[in-house]
Amino acid sequence: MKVVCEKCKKDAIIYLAYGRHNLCIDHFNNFFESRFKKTIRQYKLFSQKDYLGVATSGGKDSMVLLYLINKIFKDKKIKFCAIFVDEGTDNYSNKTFQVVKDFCKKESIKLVTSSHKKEFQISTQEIGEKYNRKEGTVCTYCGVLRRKTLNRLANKEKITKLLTGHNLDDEAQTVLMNLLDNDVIRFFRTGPETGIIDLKDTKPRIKPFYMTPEKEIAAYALYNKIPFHDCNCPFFRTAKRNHFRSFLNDTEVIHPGSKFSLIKSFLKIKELSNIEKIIDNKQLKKCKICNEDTSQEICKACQLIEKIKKI
Amino acid sequence: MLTKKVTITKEDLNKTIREILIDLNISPERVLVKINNQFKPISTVIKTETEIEILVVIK
Repeated sequence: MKVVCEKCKKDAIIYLAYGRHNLCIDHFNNFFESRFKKTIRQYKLFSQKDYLGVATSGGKDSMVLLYLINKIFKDKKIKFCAIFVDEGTDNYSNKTFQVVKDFCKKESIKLVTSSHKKEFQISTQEIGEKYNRKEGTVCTYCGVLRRKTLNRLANKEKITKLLTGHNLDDEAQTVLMNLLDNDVIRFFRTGPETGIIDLKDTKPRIKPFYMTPEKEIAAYALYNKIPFHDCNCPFFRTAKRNHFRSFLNDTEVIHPGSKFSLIKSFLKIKELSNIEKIIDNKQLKKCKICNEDTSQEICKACQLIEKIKKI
Repeated sequence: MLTKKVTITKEDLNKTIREILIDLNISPERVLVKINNQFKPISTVIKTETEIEILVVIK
């Protein structure tokens, strides 16, 4: 019954099917942290000159991200802070904020916050009520407004890179979704660093967990007792993404390593393709309402806010 | 975090936790497993009748 660690013969606590590794807690932690550092190095995600803003929602991915950045880079003179955006969802945002606030206080991490209400004069709860909780609509608003708020806070704080907790599973789902939607621009826009063009006012979003499976992040959080909030947002509806999540998880069970293969293939295609040619018709403009970067006359966030005013 | 307790009976002896999970229609990709409050790898072969605690870590 007992399975031992392949490196030290202590009791194993996890089996990584894609590599057939049985690991104890110490060797799993080493493996997990090494891959995290390797991803940062391999994709040159940031350097010592950068000021990092860790987008922290209170969920497992972003809390492990903040924990690791603090653990690994605190003493390496890399400046970082945590960023929390209060979307204003009743009986939810207050709980997620508490997790982030307590952790930052305990670890003496600078915490920068704002809210949808403050930035756009409307909360996610109010948007949900206006749309009578229509599926998917609230998430579209919340996602666009959150990205906009993160970017505003980054500019205000003079942050040079925004770190997000997106993991291998998220990215594999996104690649498949964009491919099957025939959305080539979005397809190529994803990657360990989001975006294709260098923009002055839009901070790059980087993903140190690009090569880390979601299950291993959860395992790392649980084994190391990292606090996180585990409940779904009351407006959580992502039927389409759930379909791709199930498909990829089922495939991974039968063919371990499939998620890695998908992402590696995507990166090769991205490298081989002439991205500039694909996006050359996308001229960068300034939004007529908020004067921030956009590819259209009016940015997506302002479009959505104008739309909701009419309801 | 959702947890589910499953009692392993004689029919499942000598199977790995991974095989038991698949038989139960639970994706091993979505869960972590504890036995006697200790995390166990899903490659563990179950030799005795016991209770396993399944933690659903991916929704």
